[in-house]
Order: sequence, then structure tokens, then C-alpha cells
Amino acid sequence: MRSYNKTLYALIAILIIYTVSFGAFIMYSITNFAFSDFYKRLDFRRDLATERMLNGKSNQKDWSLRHLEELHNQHEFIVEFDEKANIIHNSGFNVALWERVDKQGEANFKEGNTFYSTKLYQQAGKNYIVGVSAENYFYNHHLRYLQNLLIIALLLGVLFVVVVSLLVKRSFIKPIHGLIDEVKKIGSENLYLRLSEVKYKGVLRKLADTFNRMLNRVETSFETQKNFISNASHELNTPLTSIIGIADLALSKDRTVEQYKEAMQKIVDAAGNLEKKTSALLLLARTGYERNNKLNFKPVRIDQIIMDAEMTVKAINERFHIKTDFSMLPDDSMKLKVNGLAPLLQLAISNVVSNACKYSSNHTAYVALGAFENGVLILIKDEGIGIPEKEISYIYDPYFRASNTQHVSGYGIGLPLARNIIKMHDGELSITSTLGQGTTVRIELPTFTPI
Amino acid sequence: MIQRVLIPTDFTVNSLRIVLEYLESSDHQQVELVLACGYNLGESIGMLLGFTLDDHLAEMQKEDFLKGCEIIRSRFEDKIVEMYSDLMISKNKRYVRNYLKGRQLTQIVLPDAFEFKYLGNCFDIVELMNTMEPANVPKIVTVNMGEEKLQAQDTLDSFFFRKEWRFNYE
Repeated sequence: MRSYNKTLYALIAILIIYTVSFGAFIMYSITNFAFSDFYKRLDFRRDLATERMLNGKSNQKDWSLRHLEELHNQHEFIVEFDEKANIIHNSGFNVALWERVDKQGEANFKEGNTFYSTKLYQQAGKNYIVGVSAENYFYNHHLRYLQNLLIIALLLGVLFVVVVSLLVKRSFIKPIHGLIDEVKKIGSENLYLRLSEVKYKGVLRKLADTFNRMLNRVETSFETQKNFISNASHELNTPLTSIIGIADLALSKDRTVEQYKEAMQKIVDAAGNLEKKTSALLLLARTGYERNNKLNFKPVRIDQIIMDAEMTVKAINERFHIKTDFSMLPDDSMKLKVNGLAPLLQLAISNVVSNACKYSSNHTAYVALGAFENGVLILIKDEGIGIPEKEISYIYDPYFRASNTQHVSGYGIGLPLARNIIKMHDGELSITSTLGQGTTVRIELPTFTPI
Repeated sequence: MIQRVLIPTDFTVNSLRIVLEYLESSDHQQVELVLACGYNLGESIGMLLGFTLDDHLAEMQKEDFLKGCEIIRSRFEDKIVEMYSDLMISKNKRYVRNYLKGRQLTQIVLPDAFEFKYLGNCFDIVELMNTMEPANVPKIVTVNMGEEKLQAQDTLDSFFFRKEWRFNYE
């Protein structure tokens, strides 16, 4: 903030220096003009006085005054001097100024408010200095007035600039302080908090938006890393249980070779599923360590991922049914391509779909897919037990389980994991639910746009 | 020839089902869809002079409605040439007749049963169309809206799982 103040003060100083220089330049130019113009007028009057005094045209004074106004306190003088510049005869000249008079030619000078114009004339072997003095009314009054005006305008201008600058500074700094205060509140324990973008305008809104996006990534990364062990256990548990169950069943009594083959095949399938999940989890573990915090995303077909996820869910539990509505699929298949990692997206969708099946009495999930301009929409709904309205804000917290799920086994990890994966893909996952009627999970993912 | 079709809307996602039903039941002809809603401007001179269609539409069209429109456009890309919203700003019969004539509408789609949820100054144009003299109205196409229970649903879910959804990979 200090550098901000420094910049502001520097700008104010530059503005003041500029205004003062501007005022000084105006004063200097006008004064210069006033001097040269006035000396010209004096010179003209001096020449007329010379004609009258030395050439005997004394009656011309009235004539000249008819055409020329008399200047303020105008006096004409003539000084006769010898070759050593000693005054022989003086008519109306202040001898104290004799030193300033050029005895060889013309001279213009100013003493106090009085301006002088003198010139050497030689007649009949005698030297004369003829001159005229007068007060410059324009300089004494008008320019003084202009000077005062400029000084007052300058002072008012400086005051105005300082006040406006301070107000602008305050209006600039206040929202930045607000932003800083909001950011200070966010810590590792409340990474879900976001800056309120609506409070800010322009660049600050963009800053808040960028910060929120960064928080999204940090939160996703942080939670994924924090809950990695739980996620891994959760994901590996089902196929392992399946493998153990099949092996136990096969070993419980003597069986035919065909039955053993069938059991082995099921174990191989379950192990394959396990391998898929392991690789997905490894990808998840790498979150936050990749360049630009982005995994190596590739364009993937979302309809294919949904169908793969369905097969995965069915492999987990044969009682699970998935009904798919692809009636709103777009004509252009490019609109179904999203930028992401297929194993992770499949993990997320299969988690949501298996939850939908698990918490419904008919074990059926309804999955629908559509595409809008810049993204795809996946809806996964069920006609299950629903989520109590008061608890809906906690369902993304790891290990949280709704109060009506006591009779269904689970750890409360699948949904937060799915949400984090969707957030990693710059998507959104939202849930609407009515207790006893069912739940709808809405996933939106941005479409892949080739660069 | 491209058909210019007027479809009533109340700017809810649910009302887009009328568009869906129409597009699914119509043949392969290309269409330009005008989603129209009645909007009473009132009698204030300020409203009459300061009325801008874009501002009002921006206020009335919510994000999900626009997304719904985009989903329909993506789905029927080969059929829909253009799709936009418009407001009819008077119930005056002469205005309505000129509106239909001026926009060169060739069809009007009306649902057989649908409960519109109009906001504030909006009014029902279905009723208005039904009261117009047939000679002054383009061809009216009635669409069957099907299930009653979906009437109250105003989310993008209403686009899916309709009429025992036709595609199922199970």
C-alpha cells in the first residue's frame, strides 16, 4: 500500500509542478509582451518629443495628443551633457538614474513602476538625451490581477487535486482492503469459503473470480490429497470384497472344472476392475503435482464414459439397474467431447450412479445426457429415499452420511470424491432432492474446444 | 421452404417441452422457432418509450431456460435454422394480426393441455390465439403434451425420461 501512496503522491506532485510551470509560463509570456509593447509605445512618444523639443515643432504636442492617448504619469525630459558625460542642463530627469542611460544610443529601463525610454541626439555639436517616462498601467494593474488570479486558481486547483486524489484513493483502496479481509478469513480449515464477486466491479471482480477459481483448484487438490487414503480404501474395497466373496464361494465345497473356471473368470473381471480403479486413483494422487496443476487431459466422449460407468456399476452389483435416456443427444458428436481423463470421469459417474442404485428400493438409476452450447449435461436421478432438506448442505463433506441412510452400508466418500473429480474438470455437480421421493444429481462439464 | 413457427412460452424450462413435442412430432422440414410470450407494457409513457426487447428478455430468460434452448438446438441441429424469443406487447387484436402478418409466421403451435406460469406483466397468448378469427391466424398445430405429472416440473429433468424414453442401452 505504501508504494501505492508513493505513486499517488508522485502523480499529485507532477500535476502540481505542471500547473505551476504552466502558470509561470503564462505570466512570463504576458509580462514579456507587456514590457516590449510598452517600450515600443514609449519609443514612439520619445521620437515625437524629440521632434518637438529639438526640431522646433513645439506646437505639435496638441496634435500628437489628439491621436495618441497620454500614458499614465507620462513625463518627457531632455538632458544636455558634455563629452565626459557630465550633465550641463537637465529638464525633468532624475539624475540618480543617469548611470543607466546609454550615452551612445537608445536605452530602455525600468525603475520601480516607471518605465524609461531614452535616446542620444546630437545637434549643433551638442549632445542631448531625450527621453520619456511613464507608468505601465497594464503591467501594474492588469498583470497583477492576472497574477493573483493564477495564484488563487493554482491553490484551489492543488486543493481540488489533493481532495479528489484522496477520495479516489480511498474508493480504490476500500474494495482492495475488503478483498484482503475476505482472503484473510480463508484458511486450510475453511477452504470452501469464496470471495463474493458481486461486491466488486471491473478488474476487482475479475480478480475475485480468478481467486475463486484458484481456490476451487486448491480446495479440490487439497481435499483429494487429504482424503486419498479414504478414497483409495473406498474404491478398492468393493472389487476386493467381490474377489474374496467369489473365491470363498468357490472354495466352500468341491466343484466341477466348469464352475471353477466360471469363478476364476469372475475373479479376473473383478481384478480387472480393481486395476482400472488403481490406475484412476494413481491419476487422482497426481493431482496438484502436474504442470499448471492440470493433469494430462485428453478429449473423451462422455457418452462412452457413461456407458462404461454403467457396466462398472453393474459389475459391482447385479441387482443394480440403469435406465438411460440418450434421446437428447446432439446431432454433432463433437459436442459430446469433453476435456478430461476417462478413468477419473468414469470413477466419478460410476460413484454417483451406484449411489443412486444403492439408495433406491428398486435399485434403479435413471441416467440422461444432453449437450448445450459449451458443455454437456448429465442427469442421474433415482426414486430412492432422498436426502433430508436440512442435511443437503453437508453431503459434500467427506464421511458425512444423511440421517436416513442407517440401513445402507457406506462411508460417505463416494459423492465428495465424484464432486472433486468433476471440479478438477472445471465442471459442476449439484444435487436436488426430495425426501422419500428421490434425488437428482446434475453434472455439467465444459465441452472440449480444440485450440 | 423454411417454416417460421410461433411457440408460446412463459420462459420456464417446462414450457420448452412444447418445443420438444412439436419438433419430435413434425416432419423433416427446417424451421425457424419464435418463442413468444405476451407482455403487458402498461400505459406509462416511460415504458412505451424506454422499452427495449433485449433488456426485458435478458431479465426474463433464466440460465436454465437458455441452456434448455441450447440443448434443443444441439439435438435438432438439422431442423432448427434459428431459435429466438420475442414478446407480444399488446392484446389488441389488430396488433396481434399485424404481429403475425409482419413476422410472416406460417405456423402457430399450441399445446393441448399446459399450465403456463406467467410472471408479473406477462399474459397468455394461447388464449389470445384461440380468440382470433381463423382467417387472421396462420396454421395452428396442436401438440399432445402427454404426462400430467410433469406439468409442475420446471427443471432440465423435464426434457428427459418423457414418454417412457425411447433410447435405452440396458
